[in-house]
This record gives sequence, structure tokens and C-alpha cells, in this order.
Amino acid sequence: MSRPKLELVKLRKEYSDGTVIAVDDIDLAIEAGETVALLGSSGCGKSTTLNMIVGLENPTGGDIQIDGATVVTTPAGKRNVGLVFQDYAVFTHMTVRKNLAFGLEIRGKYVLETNRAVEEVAELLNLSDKLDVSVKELGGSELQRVAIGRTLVTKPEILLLDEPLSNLEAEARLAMRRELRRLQSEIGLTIIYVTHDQVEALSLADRIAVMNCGRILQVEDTSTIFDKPDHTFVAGFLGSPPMNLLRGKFAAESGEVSFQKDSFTLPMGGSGATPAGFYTVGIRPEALSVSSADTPAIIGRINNVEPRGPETVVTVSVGYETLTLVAPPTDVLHTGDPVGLDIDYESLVFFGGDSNRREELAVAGRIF
Amino acid sequence: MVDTQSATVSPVLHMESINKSFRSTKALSGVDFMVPEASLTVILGPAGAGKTTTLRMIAGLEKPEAGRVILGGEDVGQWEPRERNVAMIFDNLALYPNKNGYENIASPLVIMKEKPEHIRERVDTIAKTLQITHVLGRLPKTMSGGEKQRVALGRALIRKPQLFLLDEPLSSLDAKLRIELRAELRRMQRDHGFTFLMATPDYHEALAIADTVIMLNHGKVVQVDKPQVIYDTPADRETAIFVGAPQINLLESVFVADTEELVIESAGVRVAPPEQLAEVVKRKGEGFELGIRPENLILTDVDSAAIKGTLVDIEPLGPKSVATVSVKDAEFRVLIDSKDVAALELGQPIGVEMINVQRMLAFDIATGLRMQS
Amino acid sequence: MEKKLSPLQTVIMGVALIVVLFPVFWILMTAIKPPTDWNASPAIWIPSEPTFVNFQTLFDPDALGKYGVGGVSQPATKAVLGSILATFVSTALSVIIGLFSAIGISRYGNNSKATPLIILSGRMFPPAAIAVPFVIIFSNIGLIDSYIGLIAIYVAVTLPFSTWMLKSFVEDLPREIEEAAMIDGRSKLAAHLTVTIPLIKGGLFATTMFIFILNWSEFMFALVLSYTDVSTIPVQLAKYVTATAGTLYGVQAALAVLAMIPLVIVGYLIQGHLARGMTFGAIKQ
Repeated sequence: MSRPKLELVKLRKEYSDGTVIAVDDIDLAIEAGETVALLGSSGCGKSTTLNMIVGLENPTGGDIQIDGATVVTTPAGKRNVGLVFQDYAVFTHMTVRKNLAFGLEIRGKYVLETNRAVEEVAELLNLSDKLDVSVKELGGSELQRVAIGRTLVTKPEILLLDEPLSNLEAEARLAMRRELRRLQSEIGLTIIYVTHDQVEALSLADRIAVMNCGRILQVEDTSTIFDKPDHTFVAGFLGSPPMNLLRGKFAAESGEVSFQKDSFTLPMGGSGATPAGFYTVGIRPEALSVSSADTPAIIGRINNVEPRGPETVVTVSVGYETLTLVAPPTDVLHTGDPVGLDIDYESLVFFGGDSNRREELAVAGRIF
Repeated sequence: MVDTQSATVSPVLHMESINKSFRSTKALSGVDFMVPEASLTVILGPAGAGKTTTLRMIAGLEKPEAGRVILGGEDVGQWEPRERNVAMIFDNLALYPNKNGYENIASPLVIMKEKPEHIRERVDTIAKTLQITHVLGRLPKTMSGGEKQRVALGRALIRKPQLFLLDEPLSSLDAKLRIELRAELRRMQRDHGFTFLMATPDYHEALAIADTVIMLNHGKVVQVDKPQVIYDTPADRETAIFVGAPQINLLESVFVADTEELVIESAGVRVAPPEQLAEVVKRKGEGFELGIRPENLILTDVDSAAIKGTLVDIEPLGPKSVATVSVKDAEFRVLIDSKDVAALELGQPIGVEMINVQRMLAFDIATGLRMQS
Repeated sequence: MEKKLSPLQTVIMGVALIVVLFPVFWILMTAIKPPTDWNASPAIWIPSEPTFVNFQTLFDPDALGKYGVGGVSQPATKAVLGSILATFVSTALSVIIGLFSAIGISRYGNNSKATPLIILSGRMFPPAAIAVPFVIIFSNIGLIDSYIGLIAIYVAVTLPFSTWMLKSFVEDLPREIEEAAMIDGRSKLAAHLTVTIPLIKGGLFATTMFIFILNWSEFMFALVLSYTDVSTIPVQLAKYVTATAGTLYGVQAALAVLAMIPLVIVGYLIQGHLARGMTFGAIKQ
């Protein structure tokens, strides 16, 4: 196993003499050439972590290593790490060319070398025909490309982006997503994104690290983290709509096993021994569907219907609980109607009722 | 649900042929729509479409050059903001930074010189409804995004205005919070029967909570319809592109009379015209584009497919992914299940098949409008 | 982030400090020197017999008598009062007019690129160039040698500054906050009075102090526009020349010290804002 490109070891950041813990002893290893997303809500510590990697803030404890060597004492400009700010921070008075050249000129490179680097990067980002245009005249996604270009000319080994898509309109976001993925494959940088938008994370990263309250709850391949969230927080964060989470207990009645929370009963479709104690069941909205059977697994009443275009999000009240599911737009659904739901048992996940961590259970003849 | 443009029930707001220019740019031209009582209407459009200008005009912060703003049956076009019974929530919330939560919410009543005991009672009731009693004593800079939003809402609610204007109220919030709060806005509007007019560039938001969507672009009203209708039958090409992700596939096509087929030159594809388009494409012949949404295409085995191409890109979006297939000079975006991605390889030959052809659309290239019989 | 200064930087800072503070030191010392020490050669740094006679002379013209020097023509009281009157009134007017201009231009103007030029053009003439024309004009309309005339000139000449500075503070405030007040029920004027102005308190204070400094130290216009009725401190300073003893440096220094006090206080109060002031007009993102 080769040495990771970037490693955070028990990284810690405290404010106000230890009363505020922004980053709580996190460990993270990032391989060269991979793209990782730090995903979490505002205030979870992701931006602080980013700032520490770049060098804009000093850690209170722990270490940051690049290529095995600690960089905590190296000043920000010398770490070979590039940062693209959320609001781009491009120089509004200069042309695109001058903006791109800025980093190199500061480092005292010769004019010829600077020009060549600028033109290379401009071509990479499709800015070649805008090089001598004043930045004031550019639109959102072009500005962002200039911001990215400005960091790329200095040939950083690690590129950090803070909420790269948040300031862009829907259409520009789609285009920029594609652009960023192309850059990833073309220049093979190690890239770290910080974002609060799980769609952004899912579409850009190889691995996602979900953060909450200064801790990393799970680091996983993008494709797996969705199906196998390790923690209820991760399960409730990913997916739109996110997973339905209900905390209850297993029960067995005349051999039939079910999962119960107060008035809500989910038949497990089998028999056998039941694990004791509290568990939280995770039901993905895509795993529920409107049933045409006479005796559907779940019966409830439609609470809300939210059209989305290619699908419709339906909220159903079952007893005192609400379940969200995704239905095709052709289904005829009205608020207030009774409805029966089928469930795809294969996709259920269970979490410990108190630990909130995913557990593998054998129940009713299935392994979850 | 009340029909939007019905003349029988008097609407809370009627914008009648509004024109507005700023210096040399025409911000709004011929904007005309109605907002019925107890409804959630959304003005949807990209940045610069004129959404904020429209709301400001209803609030009285701008005056129309031509046309009338009819609020509660009266022509209020030249009235000052305080003379209109309208509340507005700005995208930056505009809370008074030097006043605490209580004072912010109370301010409209204080200006009206209501009795302090009465004000106290009203603020406390609203704070309890919005669950912000705990921030009443705090300054805005110590509040979270969601709390600030609800204080802004409280300040608007306390006056019991006839119309609430919301200008991108959720734009500054995290993705997760945005989804939670928009559901809350919807719930509140429904439970209390408020009349909301909300502007947003986010079509997800519009689709999710609107009773009616007013599609605004380049200062003009393009379409007024229920959300699903705008998605299924957009009035023009730009609307079709704007509403829907992944973006709709638009392919230039001609109708060949001899074989009664639609031909897409760039992809080398021939297909029978679906029933709902048969008449218009025959009449038009050429100069139109076919609109096919990615969810109405599927990937199939290349040998048996009518459309053969190469898989050039896969973009994961959670439970679904977008596959881009290159077919001659054209590209098809196809929505697929992420579960199927593992079996695919970039660069492999792949087939594309159209399903749900009754949902196919056609747009006139010259005008951009959707063709309909 | 405290950066440590290199030895060379420390030396340069030290030299700069000495150069800047030396005149102040000299004036302080001169103010407490007896007449014999004023013109001594070689120069006397610190008087051996410090005295307050110079300060006395400001208010008691004959106090210098005991040193065998003739008295000055008049006490400085009138000049001090004149300065206070002229400065306070013109500063207040300049700031008030500047405040409403700033609000008007920022909120209701049309963002023309010529706006900055128009605002600052009033300050592009060197006072010396327009002083004489003003003397002629004021003579004709009877404003010469009057506080009204002086105040009017001071307001006119500082208005570009006050408008410019206040405009940038108003622009920092999102207009939506005033608009929210208007929607809540305030009239336009009330909204600006109750919302805009309180929220730019800091900038208002800094601007007022800055204009105060400008007016208090103004010499050229005061000189040409005053004869007998009007007198300000800078003008009075120039009058301390007698036939017998030449320039009364000590008395001048004493008056200068008095005049410095308000400036030092004001300067201390707004030092933070002055740093911001250096970047006035810089275009933000």
C-alpha cells in the first residue's frame, strides 16, 4: 500500500480557549489522484479543516502530512496546495490573463514561462478566447474557471475547493460538474471538495467523508456510502429525499416477525427469532412503492404530493409516523387518499437503537 | 383547487400588462398574471429574468411605467410601500442588525403605534407558532440561518398582510435546511390560508411546493400552469431546458413524407412519429427539434437497438446516474439506475431505446415555441 | 498576527518616528521657553528655566513685559472662540448636508460613472487658486470679514469629502434593510432617519471628526477672508510678530500647543477609522 498523498492525523482545532471544538481529532488518509468530498452542514467543521490543510489556520493539535512529511510548520504559500474560494476572489480590476499570471508573477517567474503556463491553463479551462477580457465582464461559471485557473498555474499537488458549485445557477452547475470531472481525469490532481450539498458530493467525488460536529462519521466510496450508510446521521443526510428512519423494536406474533414503532407496524415477511432491544430501521424512499395488491404490506394516508418532473415525492402518514416515497409521475395520487405500500426488503438497513451505527442482522430469514 | 385565471373569484393580485425599464434595459414587458387567495404561487426564472423587479413592484419599491398593479381590487401602482398591505421577505432577510428578535418582529406594530401589551401578545403567539421563542432576546448575528428566516417570516406575519412576497427566501441556506424549510413554508401557507408569491431560480423548489408556477424569462411571462404541466408541456425550448435535470435532449429533426418517419440527421436515427406529434410534424415538415427527457430513454444491448452509439460519460447523482451516449454527431443523455453502472464501461458500444413516446415534445427552431396541434 | 521587525526595519521605523515627532517636541519645548531662549544660537533643546509666560500672554497681552518685550496687540481669546464657532458650525453643516447627499446619491442616484468625478471636483482646485476670486465675490456681496462667509466656504470646500466618505458607509449597508422598514410602514424619510443613520453611526462619527480636523486647521481662507471681526487660531498665530522682538515664537508655540489638543484627542478617537479611510472609494467585489 503506497503512502497516502495527504494525511490528517488526530487533527484538532479549538476556539475560545477550548470551549468551542471545531474539529475533533479527525483522521483521514487521501490517496494521490483521488477526489474526496467533505460533506456536512454549516458549522460541522469542514471549512475549518480545509483552512488548516491550506495553512490559513493553525491546528490546536494533531498533524497534517503531505507525502509523509509534516507541513504544519510550513507557511501557507509553500505547501503546494491550491485553494479555490467559495466566492472566487478574483481580482476585479484585471484581465483574465493577469489574474491567471498573478500567482506566478509573485513567485518571480520569467515572463516567457509565465505566459506559457497561463496559455496552457487557459486552454485546459476553455478560457483561451477570453484571456484579454476584463474579469468584470464575465459570468458566474467563467469567473469560477478563472479562480480555478489561478490556482492551477502554480501547479499545486493538491487542489482544495470550497463549495465549488454553490454560487452557480442550475445550468452552469451541470456544466461545471462535467468540467471538474474532466479536469480530474485529465490532470490527475488530488482534489478535496467541501460542500453541504449531497448531490454535489455524489456527482464529483470518488469517496465521501461525512462530517458532523467536528467529527468524520463515515468515509466511503461514493457508490457504497449511499447503499450502506454506517450511521443514522449519514443515512439521513444523503439522498433526496433522505432515508426514512424509524426507531423501534422487533416483535413476533404467532410466528410472524414485524418491526414496530408505537402504532406503526412493518411486517418483515418471515418468521423466526427476533433480536432484542431498540433498533432504527432505514427505509429508502425508492424502496417503497404504491401497491395495487389487496393486502399491501403497509397501509396509510397520503399527506403530501410533491411533483418533481420525472418522479413524484409522496409523503404518507402511517399511524403517527410519516414515510416518504418516490413514485412515477403517472401514478394518480391525491392528498387525503388512503394508499397501500409495497416494500423492497432487500434494501432495508438497520442501525443500533442507541449506537446509531449500522448493524448486520439476521431476521425473518434474511440478512440485512 | 381554484383555477388560477378564473374570473369568478377575485384574485388578491392582478398584474396587468406591466412594463418597466431601467435606463436602457427593458426589465419587464407585458407582464400579466393573477394570484388567487390562499395559494402558493411561484415565479420561476433564471437570474436576470425580472423576478425581483416584479416583486419589488408589487411591494411598491418600484413603480410601473405602463400597466396596473391591482392589489385587493385597487390600483396601487403609485402607492408608497407603507400604504399597501403587503409583506416582503428579501433574499438577504434584511433583519435590523441592531435590534433583537423581539424588536424585529414587533417593528411593524411599533410603527403603527400599537399598545405595548398588544404587541407583546402578538409577538409571543407568532414566536410560539414559528418555534423561535428562544431567539427573541438575541441579535440576528447570533442566529442560525433557519432562525433568521423564521424571524423574517414572523415580522411579515405579524401584520396579517393580504399578500406575502418572498424573494428567494431559502437561497442562503444549506441544501438540507432548504428542503426542510420549504416544506415548512408550504405547511404554514396551507394551514393558515396565507397568500404567498415566491420568486426562485430553483425549479425543484417551484415544482415541490407551488400551486401555480409563473415561468418568467427575459422580462416576459412565458407560461402560467400547474408545476407538473410546466414540466410535461413547457411552452418553449428555454423553459424545457430550464425545468428538468438532467437536461432535456433536443435533436433537430425533419419529417419525411414518403416513409412517414421522423429523421434525426445528426444521429442517423429514424423513428415513427408518436401520435400526439403526428399532425404537427407532418404540417411543419422541417425546421423543428424533438425534445426527449432523459428518463424517457433506456440503455439496451447494442445489437438489437434502433439507436446504436458509444457510451462516453457516466455521471453519478445518487440513486440515479446520467449516461451520455454518442451517436454519430449527436449525444443522448439517458437516466439510469446507479445499480446498473457497475456493469457498464466507458467507450463501450451501447444501444438507446425510446420509451414513453407519448411524452415526446417538438419545438419550432425559429420561434423556440413548443409545437402543438 | 504579529510580525517581528527585522533590525533594519526597526531602524527605519525609529528614524521615521523621530522625523515626525521632532516638530511636535520642538513646539512643546518652545512653548515653555522664556523669550531669551527662543532664538538662541546654538539652539536650546530644553529650557533651563521653563516658564508659562507664553501661555499667559495669550490671554494677558502684557505678560511678556517682565522680559522686556513689548506686548502683543490682542489676547487670543477671540481667535479661540472664533475657531470654535467656525469649526463646529461648518463641520455640523458639512456633515448633515453630506449625509443627505450621500443617501440621495447612493440610494436614489443613477449610478453614473461620472458621479465620483462630480462629487470630488469641488476639491480639485487648490485653495490658493480660488482664494482671491472668493475675496472679490464676498466683498461684493458683503460677506467679507464675517463668520457666515467663512463658514460657507468651509462647508463648500469640505462637502466633497463628507459626501464621499458617507456615501461609502451608506453603500455598505444593504438597501433592503431600509426597504424592509418602508414595507413595515415607514415613509422614505422616516426609514432613513430611523434605520440608515443609526446603522452608520461609526462612519458618521469618523467623518465628523475628519471634517473637524480639516476645518480647525484651515488657514488660507481664514486669512484672506478675515480683517477685524473674524479671527481664527491659524490666523492669530500669524499675528505674533512685533516690530521690536520679531516673531514671538514662544507665544506662537503656546497657541499651537493649545490648538493641537483637540486634534490629538480627535485623532486618537478615530485612528481605526482613518486606516479604513485610506481605501475610500476602492471598488469592492
